[in-house]
This record gives sequence, C-alpha cells and structure tokens, in this order.
Amino acid sequence: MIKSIVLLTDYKGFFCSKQKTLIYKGGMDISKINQLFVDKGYEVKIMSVSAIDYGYLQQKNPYIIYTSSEDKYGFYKSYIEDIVFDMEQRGFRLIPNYVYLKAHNNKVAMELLRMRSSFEKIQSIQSSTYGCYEELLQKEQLQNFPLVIKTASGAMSRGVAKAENKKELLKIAKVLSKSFDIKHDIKEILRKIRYGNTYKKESFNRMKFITQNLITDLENDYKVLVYGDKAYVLYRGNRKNDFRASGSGKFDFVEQLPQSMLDYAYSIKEFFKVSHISLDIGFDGTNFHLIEFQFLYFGTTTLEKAPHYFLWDKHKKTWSLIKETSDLEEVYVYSIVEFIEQKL
Amino acid sequence: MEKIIALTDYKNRFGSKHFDVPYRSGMDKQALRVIFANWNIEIEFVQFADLINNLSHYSKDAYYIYTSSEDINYYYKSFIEDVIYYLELLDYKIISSYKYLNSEVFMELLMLGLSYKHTLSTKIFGSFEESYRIINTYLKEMNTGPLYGIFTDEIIDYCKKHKKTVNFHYYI
Repeated sequence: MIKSIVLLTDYKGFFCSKQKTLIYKGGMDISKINQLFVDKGYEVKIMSVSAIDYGYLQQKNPYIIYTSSEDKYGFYKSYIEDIVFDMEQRGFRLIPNYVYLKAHNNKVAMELLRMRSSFEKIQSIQSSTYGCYEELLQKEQLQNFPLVIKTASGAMSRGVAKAENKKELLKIAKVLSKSFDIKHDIKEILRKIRYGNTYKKESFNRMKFITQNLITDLENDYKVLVYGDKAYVLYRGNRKNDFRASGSGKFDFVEQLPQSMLDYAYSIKEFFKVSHISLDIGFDGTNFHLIEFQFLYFGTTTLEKAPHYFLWDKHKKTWSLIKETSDLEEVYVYSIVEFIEQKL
Repeated sequence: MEKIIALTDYKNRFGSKHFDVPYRSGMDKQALRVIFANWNIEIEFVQFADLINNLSHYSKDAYYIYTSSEDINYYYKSFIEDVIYYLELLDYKIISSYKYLNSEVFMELLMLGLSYKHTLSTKIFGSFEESYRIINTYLKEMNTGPLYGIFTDEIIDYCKKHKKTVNFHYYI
C-alpha cells in the first residue's frame, strides 16, 4: 500500500521557514518537497490548515506534517494549535506531536517540557514560569542570582535580559511583561476609582515569561540542527560585553567541536523522538547545557549556509565530517522519511 | 478525606460570579470551603505560578480544579493553558480536561467530532484571508445568492475594522 503524507500550509499557502527563499518569507519550496516525497514512494496531498479534507485523512490515515507561525502575539499560531490539537485528539498521525508545536515560540511551554522530561542531561538549566508580573512580585524567595529573564516569545535574543538582584529582576520583568492596551488599562483605572480599595485591578503586565539560572562564563554557544542522522553546527560568539550569543552576528561554521557535543545533541533528538530538532547548546569546558530547543519552524540558516555537516553512523557509533553543502528541502524530507521508516 | 486543589489566578480569583463581592473577585472561596467540607472534601486554593514552580509539593492524589481568564488578547489565559496542559501530561487529575479549556474554534472542532446530527454548519478560520477565499468559493459553488453575501460582508467588515488576524468561527 502506498504511503501517504499530508502537508498543511498556512493561509498564505506557505510551509515552515527558510532563509533563502524565492518569495520573501515564502517558506520551503512545496513543489520540491512534493517531488522528493514522490521519489521516495509517497503520495502527497497539500492542504491549507483551514481547508482540511477529513474524509481523505480518515480514508488514507496519512502522516501529517504542518507549518507553524510566528505572527505577532501568536493569534494565527493559536488557530493552528486548535486544529493540530483536534487532529491529535482524533488519532491522526502528526509529525511532530502537538506538544512540540505548543513549545514553538513559547518558552513557558518549552521549559515545562524540559521540567517534565526525566532526561538528566538537559536539567542543568532550571526555570520558573510566570503568567504575569504580579506573580513574580508575590514570590517571597527569589534567589540564585544572577538570573536570566526571557519573554515567552521572541528570537534573536529579543526579550532576554540578565538580572543581578531582586530589584533589577522586578524592574526588568515589569518592562518585558508589559501588555499595554489603552482601552483595557483606562477601564481598569476607572474601575479602581469606582470600587475603591476592595477592587484588585487586572494586571497591565500579562505577557508570560520565565526566569532561569545563568550558566556563567560562556563565551559562545552552538546552534545545532539535527535532521535524522545529520547534524549542522554553527558557532555563535557572544555579543560584546554580553551573555547573549543569538543574533550576535559572530558566526562560524567550525569543524572542530567540543568532544561529545554531537552525541549530546543527537541524544536529545532521540529522547524527544522527533525527526529533527534545533538546539542552542552551551559548553562550559566540562558540561553541556541545553539553553533552548525547538521542533519546528526554527531558523534554518545553520543548514542553508553550512559548508559541511556531520553524519552519524549508527553501526560504528561515530560521526563523520562530510564536506558538502546541503539543500534544506532534501534534508527535511530525508529526516521525515527516516523517522517514518523507523516507526514502521 | 479527599482533597481538591483549586488553582487561582494572580489575583487569587477562582471562577466567575455575577454578584461577586468585591467586584470581579470570582466565587466566594470561604463558601466553597464550607460546602466542600460538608462533603468531607478539603479544598486548598493555590495560584498557578505557585503550583507550577513548586510542583513537587503537590500530590497527584488530589483533584485539581481551576479558573480560566478572559483577559484582553488572552495573554494570561495562554499561561493557564500551558500549565493545565502540562499537568495533564503529567497525569494530574484535572477537572475539566485541557481540551475543554480551549477556544471557541476548538469548541466547534469538538462538536464536529461528535457523532450526533449537527444543526449548525460551521466553518472555521484562522485569518480573514482564509475566510474570504473559502467563503467566496463556497458561495460560488452553492450559488446561494445575496442572502449569504450579506453575511459574508459582515465578516469582511468585521475583519477590516479590527485590521488584524483574528480567530473566529462562522455559521452559515
């Protein structure tokens, strides 16, 4: 029986993210993905998230790959989440599962996923999560400074800051969690005037955020993308006098890596049982630290610009350096097919 | 004695109530304590952030009920969703399940998944562009004329007025 894949696009007809696109922010080349799956013996059906043919899904029981969104405030992403969650509830086969979509561009969900996991290798960073500034304010014991504070959404180090003490933490959190809405805020002030001290006004700082311990003395991190048994690594130096590496522009595709880093990265992908993963890894000279991780719709520059990649040999348990460039769609399809074949 | 942990928001508010004192403070927590005690059930009120950041202190034997939020743009509600989904993944006994906390879009999807005969035909969209394209195609195919066209215009006006991507469902 021919295997079937359904690819779900957004309202623009785009799928996932890609840096080098023909249309600006146009995502991956869908026709190329289609052809690559066909070459592997799959039947491909492309549907929009809002026009899913459930009859087809019930008849064919395909694997479903889907896009996410990084729209401002996550309005459209919340819609995709509704659809994907519903499909998971109905028992359809999603790649990746809903839990990984939820963690996309949502550091609260990502950290909860980390906390839930029993995987000790990724526990060196411990986080607290908050839905608003007031929740942090009410917390009596804030310790282990310096702390890193991050808004739930945001890439390239946006919404990330360091706090050396409680005072600084509260000040930064108040700014980062601001959820300004003039109508809402005025209404709340008027309510407060009308109802007096008994009325507790709604928070003006409801952008959820996390705090976590800072791994000190890191001069860089590594962006590692693992697709199936292929790993792509980008060295990212910190910004000047800063603890943040993402978005610094100090990038290098290095061949020499800290020993076992690829094993570390691959073990995380295997732990989460996904086809591909994006990891931000710090190395302090002794231990590796998983700073952030994503499962879909992550930046792909590390793959697209890489002059080489590392290939894992499952039998020999070794990594080889392959000095050739890669094509995103080819590697993406390769990882999905490998993932499906492993499941069968 | 059974135990219930009631998860409250940052204002320590639980649920909603029309005649609440103070204004917009939710259900009367003391009254809930008394009523549950009559059933030999102990109830403890804990804020979401306190629970999630000290989870090892809270037993899986207890039942967990929770408040939701209707804050503007649902920023705080999205945090509640994260927490409840996480608790459910960890097999905490959540009343009601995460799927019932979700949006109206998801509510419609839930109904579509039920086997009874539907009296409402629902279309679900994540953005104005999707509704415009799909509704127009639908109207063309159905050749339904101006009656539905008026309804479509209302949706288009609504979206234009809000000038942003919104989630909504649409009855035809």
